[in-house]
Amino acid sequence: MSEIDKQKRMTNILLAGNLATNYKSAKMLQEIKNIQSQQLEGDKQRNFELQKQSGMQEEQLREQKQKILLEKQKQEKEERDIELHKMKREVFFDLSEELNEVKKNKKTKLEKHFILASMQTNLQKYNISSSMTDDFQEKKVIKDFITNLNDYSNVIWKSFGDNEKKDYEIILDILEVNEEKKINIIKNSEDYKNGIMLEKEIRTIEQCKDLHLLVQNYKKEISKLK
Amino acid sequence: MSENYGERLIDESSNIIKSEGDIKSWDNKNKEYLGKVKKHIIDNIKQNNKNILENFSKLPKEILRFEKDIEKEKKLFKDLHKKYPFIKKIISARGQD
Repeated sequence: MSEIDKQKRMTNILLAGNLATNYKSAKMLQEIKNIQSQQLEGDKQRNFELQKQSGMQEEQLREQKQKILLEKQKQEKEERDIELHKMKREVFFDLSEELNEVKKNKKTKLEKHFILASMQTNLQKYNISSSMTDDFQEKKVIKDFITNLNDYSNVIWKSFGDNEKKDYEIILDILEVNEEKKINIIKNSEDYKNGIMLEKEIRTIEQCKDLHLLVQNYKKEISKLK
Repeated sequence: MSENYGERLIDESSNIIKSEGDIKSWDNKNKEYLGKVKKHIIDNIKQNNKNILENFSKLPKEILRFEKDIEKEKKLFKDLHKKYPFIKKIISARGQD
């Protein structure tokens, strides 16, 4: 498996079970995502209101209300942008702190690798890249952090011994398939439920000792018996 | 027995049988047909539900395979957990997306 494939496999796995979930940065990233979703929802709602206004007969009143709504929309957007901007700066400060902490702590190389991969996964999950801002200084901060994170992750990966690589593969194998979930999906499927019902019915017929019961319950089938 | 004994059985069971004693004696009198009737009904059920049974037939094997994997992974986890306690956290969070 190539390095890229390994990384992809790890990312998919960690989207489900993430070691960095409780990190301050992860919580902040989730908050940023929530604000952005709320922003979208608010815009939709306001557009709906504006469309409703256009159906009003009083031209002057309609224009006045639209103007107020647009002004409110603009003001709210500006406030949210300031808040988001502040949060983004904070999140990169936290991420850098967390990365330094991982570098300094005495955890095993394998655990460090999983934490770093979780951080990389979070960046991907929340679409964090230098393209998310127009500010050159911010772009540099983001880019430097991502480079720093990836470099350190590579250093850790390259320092793995044979046993660590073997253990890493076993952990990924365990993580990759949630067998309990798969079994539940099968047991809740229509194919499985219908099959179980039919098997039960067939077993009941096989064990039946009373001909009259069979005749009563399966008239349609028995009528064809020659 | 008439040519279509299925119809005769239906007719007899609905018209002739009156009491519990009648039922037992009728069942007893016709017991030679019990096996054939069962086979006929089961064949019919299987024929009419061919697709369902075909789809179902693979599922218990799949479940068994996953159950074997769970057992195997439990042993692997036990050994690995001593070395790397952190894996408990990621494995228990597995699939909670």
